[in-house]
Order: sequence, then C-alpha cells, then structure tokens
Amino acid sequence: MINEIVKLKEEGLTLQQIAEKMNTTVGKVQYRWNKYRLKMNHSAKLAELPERENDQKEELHENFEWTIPPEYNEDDLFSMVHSPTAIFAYWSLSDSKRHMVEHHFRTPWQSLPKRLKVYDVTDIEFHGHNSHRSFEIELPEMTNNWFIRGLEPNRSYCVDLGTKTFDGSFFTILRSNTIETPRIEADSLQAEKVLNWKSGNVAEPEWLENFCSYSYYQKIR
Amino acid sequence: MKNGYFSFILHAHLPYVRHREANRLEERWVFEAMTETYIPLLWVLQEQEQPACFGISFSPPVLEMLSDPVVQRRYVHYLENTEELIRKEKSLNPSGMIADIVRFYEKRYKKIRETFYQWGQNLINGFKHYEAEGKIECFTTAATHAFLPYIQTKEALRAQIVHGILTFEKHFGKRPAGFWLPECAYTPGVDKILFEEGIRYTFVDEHTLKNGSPKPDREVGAPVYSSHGIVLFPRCEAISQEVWSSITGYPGDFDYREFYRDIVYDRDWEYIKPHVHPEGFRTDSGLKYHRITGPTEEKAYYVREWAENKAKIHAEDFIQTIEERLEKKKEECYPPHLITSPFDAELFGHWWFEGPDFLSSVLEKGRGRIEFITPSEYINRHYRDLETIHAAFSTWGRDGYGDVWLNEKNAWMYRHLHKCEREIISTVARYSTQEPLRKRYIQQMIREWMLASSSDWAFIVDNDSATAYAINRFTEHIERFHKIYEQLKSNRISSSFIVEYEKDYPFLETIDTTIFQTSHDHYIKQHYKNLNSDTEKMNIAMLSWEFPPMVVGGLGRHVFDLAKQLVKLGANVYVITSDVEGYPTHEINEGIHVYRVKGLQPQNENFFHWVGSLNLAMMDQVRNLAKLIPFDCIHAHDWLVSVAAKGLKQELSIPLIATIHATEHGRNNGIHDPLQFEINQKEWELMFEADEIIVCSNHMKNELCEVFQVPENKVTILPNGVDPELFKPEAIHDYKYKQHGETLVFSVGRMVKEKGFQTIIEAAHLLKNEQDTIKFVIAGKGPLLEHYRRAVHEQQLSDIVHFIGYVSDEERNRLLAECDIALFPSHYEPFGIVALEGMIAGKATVVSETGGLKDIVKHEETGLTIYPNDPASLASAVLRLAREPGLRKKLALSGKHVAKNVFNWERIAKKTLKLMEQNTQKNNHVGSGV
Repeated sequence: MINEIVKLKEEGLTLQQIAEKMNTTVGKVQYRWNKYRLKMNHSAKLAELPERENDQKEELHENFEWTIPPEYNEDDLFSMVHSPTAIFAYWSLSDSKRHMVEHHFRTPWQSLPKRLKVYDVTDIEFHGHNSHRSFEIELPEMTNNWFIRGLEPNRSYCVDLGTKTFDGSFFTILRSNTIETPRIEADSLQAEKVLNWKSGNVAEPEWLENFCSYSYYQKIR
Repeated sequence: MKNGYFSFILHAHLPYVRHREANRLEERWVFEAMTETYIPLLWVLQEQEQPACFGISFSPPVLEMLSDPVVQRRYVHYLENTEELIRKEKSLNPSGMIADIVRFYEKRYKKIRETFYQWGQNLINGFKHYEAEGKIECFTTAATHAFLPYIQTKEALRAQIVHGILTFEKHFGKRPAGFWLPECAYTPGVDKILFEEGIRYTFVDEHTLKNGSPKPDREVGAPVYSSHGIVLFPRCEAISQEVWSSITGYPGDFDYREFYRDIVYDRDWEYIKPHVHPEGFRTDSGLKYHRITGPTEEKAYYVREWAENKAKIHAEDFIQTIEERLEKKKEECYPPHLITSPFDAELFGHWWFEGPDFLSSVLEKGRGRIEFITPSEYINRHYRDLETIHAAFSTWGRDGYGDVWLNEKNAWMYRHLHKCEREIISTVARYSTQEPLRKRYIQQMIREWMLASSSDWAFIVDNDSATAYAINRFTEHIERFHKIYEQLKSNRISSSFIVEYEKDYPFLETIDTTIFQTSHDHYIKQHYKNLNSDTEKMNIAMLSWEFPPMVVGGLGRHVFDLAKQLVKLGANVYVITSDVEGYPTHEINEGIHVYRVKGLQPQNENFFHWVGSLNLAMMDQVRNLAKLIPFDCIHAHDWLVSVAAKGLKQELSIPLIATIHATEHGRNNGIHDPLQFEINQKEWELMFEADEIIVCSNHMKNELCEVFQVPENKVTILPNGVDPELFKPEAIHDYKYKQHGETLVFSVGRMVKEKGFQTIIEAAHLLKNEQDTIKFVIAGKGPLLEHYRRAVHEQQLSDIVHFIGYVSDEERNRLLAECDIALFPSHYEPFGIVALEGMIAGKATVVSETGGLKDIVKHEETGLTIYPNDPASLASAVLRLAREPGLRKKLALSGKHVAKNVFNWERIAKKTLKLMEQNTQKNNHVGSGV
C-alpha cells in the first residue's frame, strides 16, 4: 500500500485524492504516509548528523514532522461564493465538540445522520429561526465539504452543519458565515444604501461584505 | 480623431518560481517571459514617441524575480545556452528559409542581450525609465496574486494589498495609483481596503458594471466609483474578443509563429542534449522555426516578413474596430466614451509571438486617429463625471464568477489557506513581535501563507497542466508554515532554523506583521496585562444555566451568592450562563465575570435540545476564555450543563466539581417518561465525570448514593447559604397585606406539585371554622397557578388563601417582614433555601419534614416541622403558632441565629474552595483554617 501512496504522492496528488484513487479512507492513507515520512525523515536526519548528540536527534525527530491533513481538529464551517446560483461550504469538527454531540444524543457519531441546512437570510439579522426559507441536505459519511447549487442570485445565505433529532427536527452543531450571491442583472436595490454611505449618513455600510472579522481572543471581553 | 478614448492595459504576472536550487523547470517561465514579452515590450516603448501609450501592472513576484541577482545570473546562462544553440544551428550551414530564420534569431538574441544589459540586468529599470518619460503608467497587484474574494479575513486581505503596494514602492520608488485585481476578482469590501491604502482605481469585468446597483447610465462606456470610492474600469468584452478569441482572434493567424513546435523536438538527442535540462529531458529552447500554417500537423517554415506584415494588418483592423465603436458612441460626453482593454502581458510575445509587433503597430497607426489614455489621466480629466454603484462579486474567469478557482478539483485548498490566516492572527496576538527572532518566524509564516495563496495554484489545478508542480508548491508552503509554527510554539526557536526557510524563498524582504494585529486582540492584551499575577489565584469556570436576573428556581441565586463569596476569598470566577434578552453578554457583577451565551437555536421548542445547543455555546465560550485564563477547575451546576462540563473537562484536562441541586428522580418520585429518562442519564453522566460532587443535604447524598450508586466518598455535603444582607428587616409602619388582628402566613415558590401548595388549600378547610383569623399569602408563578386559584375560588376559600402570583424581590421581602409565620409545605425539596430566608427574616418557620428541609429546621428548636402532604398536620402547626406568640418569638430567634451562622455563604465558600484546592493541588492560602 505504501509504495503506491509514495508513487501517487510524488505525482503531486493530495492524500484525499490518493484515498479516492485507492478506494480507501483518508485516515488510512494519512496514517501510512505519516509513518513512512517519519521513518524516512528520521533515518535521513540521523544520517546527516552523525556527530550530534542523541537528544538533538530526538528533537529534530519531534519538530520537523508536519503533513498537510485532510482537515484540522477544530470547529470550523466556512462558506464561499461560487457563482450567482452556487456556494461552497467546508467544515471540520473538533474532537471535543463531536464528543459533546455524541454525549447530548447518547449516540455514537457514525450513527448520527449528518445534515446541512441552508438558510436564506437576505436582509435579516439571523439568529437561527427567522430565515426567509431553508432546506436541508443529507450528507454522506466522511464528507467535509459540499457545493450547494440551485440557489438564487442576489440573496444572502448561511449554512448550518447539524444532525437530525429523534423527533425529526434539525439540531445545529456549527454555523457558517453569511455570504451573498452576486446579481445577474442590474437593479436599484442598493442605490439608497450607497447614497447613505457616500453622504456619511451611516457609520457602517449597510450591505454585506464577505470578509470575516476574526481575532484570537474573539469571545473574550 | 474620434471623440472618445482607448485605454490599453497589460498585466504582467508569474507565480514566484525562484528556487534556491538551480535548473528548476518552472524557473524557465520567467526566462521565457523576459525573452519574449518583457524585453520586446521595452522595444515597443523605445520606438514610441507619443505619451500615455498604455498602463501596465507588475505583480510583486515578477518585480521580486526580475530584480533578483540570482535570477539575473541564471538568465545570462539561459541566454548563453540559446546563443550557443543558434551558433550550432548556423554552423550546420542552413540554406533558404531556414537560413533566414536562423539569421532572424541571431539578430534578435543579440538585441535581447543588449537590452538586458542596457537596463543593468534589471528590466524594471527600463519600465521605470519609460514611466518617467510619461509613456506608460505602472502599477501593481496583490502580494502574491491571491484571489482576493476567497481570502477569509480582513487582515489577510489587507496584508495582500499592502504588501503589493510596498513591493511596488520598493522597486519604483513611489506608491501606485492603480491596483490590478487578480483575475479581475472583485467583491464588496475589497474596495474599502484599497481605498484606505490610497489606491484610486482598479479593473473589473464588463458584467460587474452591467449588473451594478444601480445600473450605470453609461453601462460600460465609462468607469464608475465603487461604493467605497475606487474607480472601477470595466473590461470591454467585444474588443478583448478581437484579440483573444480562439476562432476569430488574431493570434491564431496561419502566418504567425507556431508556439508548440520548438527545434528541441526536431533535433537528434546527442545534438540537442547540451541545450536542454541537465537531468536529460527536452525543454523548449525558444527557437521555433514554424508558422501555424493551418489545421495540420505538417507545419511550414516561419516567414518573418509575412508575420510582421500580418501584425500590421491586424493592427489596422483593430484600430478600425475601435474607431467604429467610438463613432457609434460619439454623442457621449462628460465623460466621452472610454474603451478599456486589459490583457495578460505574457499573451503579447510569449503566447502570441508577434503580439509586441502588433502593439507597436497599433500605437503607431492609431496616432491622430484615436486618443490613447492611461487610467490616471482619464480620472484626472473626468473624476467629477463618474457615477457610484454597488458592484457584486465577479471575475473575468469562466462564466464570470469563481468557477476556475473554486471547483471540485481545487476547492480543498481554501481550508488550508484560511487556517494559515487565522493562525497568523493568533500568533501575532500571542507572541510579542518586539523580539527580533520571533518576529522573523512570524514574518516567514506570513511569507509561506502568501506564497501558498497565489491564485496560480488553483488556476493550474483547474487547467490540468503542471498540476503536480502547483499541488507540490501549495502543499510545500502550507507544510513549511506549520513546521515554523510548531517550532515557534515549542519555544525552541533558533536563528539557524529560520534562516534556511528565509533563504529558500527570499520573497519580500520586509513584512509588516502589525497588519495581523486585530484591534480586539490588542485591547484584550492591554486589558488583561496583569493576568500573570492571577496564576496564583484559583481560576474557576462556573457553568450554570441560570444566573440573575434569570432566576427560575433557587439555583441562580445559589450560584450568584457562592460566586460572590469565592471572589471575596480571592478566586477569579467566570460564570457562563444563558443569554437573557436585554442583559449584557458580558459584565462584571460583584467581581464575578459573567458571560451570557446563546445557543445557535435559541428558540428551540424542545427544551432538551435547547439545552444541548446552549451547552455547545458554553463550551465555545470557555474554550476561548481558556486561551487567556489558566482555568484550574470547572464547577458545574446540575444536569443542564452536563454536556459542556464533560467536554471541557476533556478539552482542558482540569478537575470537574459538580453541585447537584436536585434530581429528576427526586422531583418526580421516579422516572416515568423518555424525557425524564434522558435527564436522568445526563445527571448520571455528570456525577460519573465529576471528580467531586457537592450536595446540600444528607437527604440528597443518600439519594445520589442509592439512586445513582455514586461512591460515598465522592460526595461532600455543603448546605446552601443565605445572604442576611438581602433580608434586612425593615421597620414596618404600615401593613399592606396584613389586616389588624390577623395572623399572616407567607409562602413562596414555583407553582408546581412538589412544592405542596395543594396541602395549604386542603388545610384551609380545617382552619375555616376556627375563630382565629388566619390568612395565607402565597407568592410565585408556575404551571399550576391558575389551577390553584380556581380551586380556592370554587371552594370558597378566597378570604383565607391568596395566590398573588409573581412578586418582585422587594415585594417578597416586604411580605417576609409583614408575616407572622413562614410556611414551606414541600413534598420534595432537595434543600429549601426559602426556609432559610424565612428564618433570616426572623419569622417562625414551618416546613415539611422532607429532603433538605429537615436538615435546616429542628422541630421545636428552630421552627416546626409537619408531615408532608398532611393537611391536618399543617393546620395544627399553623394554629399552634397563631395562638402562641411566645413560641413564635422563641423559634424565630433561634432560627435566625442558626441560619446566620451555619448557613453562611462565607463559610460555605471557604469549604468549596478548599475542596477545589484539594483537587487542583493549588494552595492559595484562603481555605486554611476552615
């Protein structure tokens, strides 16, 4: 297995692509690959540094390994505009949060149905229940991204990752940023907002700008 | 001369392909662009005498590579190699057409070399020179040509823009007025940063203006202001098609040079071997002897004169097309019609070999017929006449939006880029950039992120050419980023480590890390500066779904009083509780840090899932706080926070203390339905996870040990306290509730079955016929309130029993002050804090002999106890106290004494803290002496 992975990797494929090609899981491929890299790297480093102390070799061994993972161990759901009728969302869930969801439902993660819920939140301050409309997408297992198509131009969307409760309702685990699909024809809907901003009548523009305000201590006041 | 303008724009960009080791295949991209595009463009400018020929953007990677001495030295080798090949070709004594071609290349390469040396081996000097002469206007683009709408954070967006500008300034000695948006990719908000950084104009695609809001009057005949005041020049689609189109476009003419037919593929291996890649594979030499010829594999030889002539014909055609268009729009004025035509610079020369000849011819033939203009000159003349619109996301790519850079093949890249952005922000927040070595680490992280975020990688992957290189480069920079980051976090940083990374890709000498400093992080760092001294203190994350002003039961009150005392004892307490409409999400109340959080579905009709949602939000809050606050333990109150408590215990690896105030089993006298079962499970899990469990009474401890099989030594009994301050007896001058001669019996609680108010109604029947005037006033709301009120009315007890509903704290205190007897007839009461309130208020207190109540009131000593759910017992106790004022006084006095001293928050808080210390091995000397 490892020989084929190395070969494909040298061809420039990502672990995810290799997994698809070999018809196996990313986890398995990554495990093999990491093991291989560790082995190769370790022997290379040891060979390079014959005169160094053992503990330094150890140090190199510890610090120099890092392989691009299929996803990160963190809570993240981010959506991006693809076109007037499609958006893209990718996500990852931290181990802790996954455990919490398992705990809340007293059900193992693999037995919980995975869903995306897409909300039309145009011109509203969305709090989880007040969208213009929404629909759900059933996700296959081991999925961490999705293209959501068939949307409408010039609307604001936001996506939840969640599961289905025993009574059939949607339970939100993560929520994405809100994004706006572009117009496909001119209108005058923004004219007044632009005027307000231009003439200094408002402190902040009243339209959506698709960039996030992230800060490290985000939730600390 | 036609009324109107034509603005020709070139955008020069290549990804940063300068490698430390020589002979990387992709480095040839730069050499080819220099040989076939950048140098011939300098020839075009040399020949032209008229000003304002065109505008040209140089991407920072191009600027950095053209000015790099290593790249320059390697380019000389590249030229030498080609010149050597030309000599060899010549020595073959070619005849006829081939001889002409060889002579053409010989002359051409001589001129290339001359031009390269003329500008001191740095071609930028040439463009600078012609800009100073006013022939061109130069500007730049994003630092590594990132697809700006797909950047995640404002900080990273600004970093891409600012470093583009800084690099331009470094090479041109001035700031640019214009900024090329990579891939003409615009989205609202990009213009805001451009404006703030002093940029005046940029370029977008035609449909960006056509789909504007509002629609501009001139459609694409004039640029517009974006909503933040950047001038957007629209690409004229029709004119671009003339050049671009694969069917009707100029570059496909049969007389033009064939791109794919290089002599390296026609010569013997031994002959060509010295001129190809040292690892022994054929790479384009740049010597191409054939013309496109037609749709055939049999290519005819290139005839330079024919090609030059064709370029002139095409230039004339192009000028006429522009003239026709301007003629149609000649009525337009203020401003006159403008045609903007931007192209990738490398199209001219590299892809379309005769492109520079065409361009030269266009400029020459156009003189006196159409007015060429640069963007700045146009703005200077017409800035007053431009409209303002809101422009939406758009690009010049396939279908006009993001499909080239975001599709099934390349979408996986963005997760990694965004992760880098956030980690840079985190790193700048966490580590001081004052320390030079650390700063170099952070700068290198930024460099790696920038190099990975080049739009070229996604583009190449979409295009299915050189995919391996693009993926490898992308992956390499992401991995390097994290290796540097890991090393930085390990605190074993060294100059010898980072210098290697810097040498590998010497892109952008200076990087401004402060762009990634968010104002919020800066504020937090300043605000919590003295936090280090707090590491001595006990830092407690306290989870409780209720907290004042939200007080459903006694729990909120309890948490508030306990937290307050813990703060007084020197601990730092962070209470995480649920959001209350109209109350701040953060406040410091009596020294307690209170964070009120909201689940993602705050109106979930299913209470159980509402709680689940709340728990996820609590977890997020504490996890974020823990970046700054070195929490020592979690203190969780009741099952409602079980999920967050367990999650945090695992996440933070710190002890969990759980206080169990009541159980579902106790409340319902067993578990009867699925919801109760789920709650029961959550209770069980919380108890299981907890390192220590606190309960308020013997009764509760027994319940836990029996019902949940909790080991006895895990449970500590700490009674609830009362705050005497809250029940200061006010001197009563006028009675509001009590009539003269009446005995007023007061009770308060939620109108639920287990509080036993039904027993009062039943007892009232027994007292109705006594001579004594006894009046029950019962405060509180709840599901059974209306039921009780109706019962009182129907049973004609309205004179005796009054259910007054919800009362404020002041009103409740007044009732406690006015009454003669405080009565709490609960059937189930884990603790019974209300009884303590009655005692503190100095009233004779009657309670059911159940649960925690029987630990509080000693019969005949500190009050009276009655049998639960026994109207006769209740009636007789009330009657006895009504008739014996002396007994009332005696019980009230001793009751108050016990309540004040035994059920005292300071004492309870000290014990709680001691329990925490035992579990965390943290001794802050507060608990000693307890």
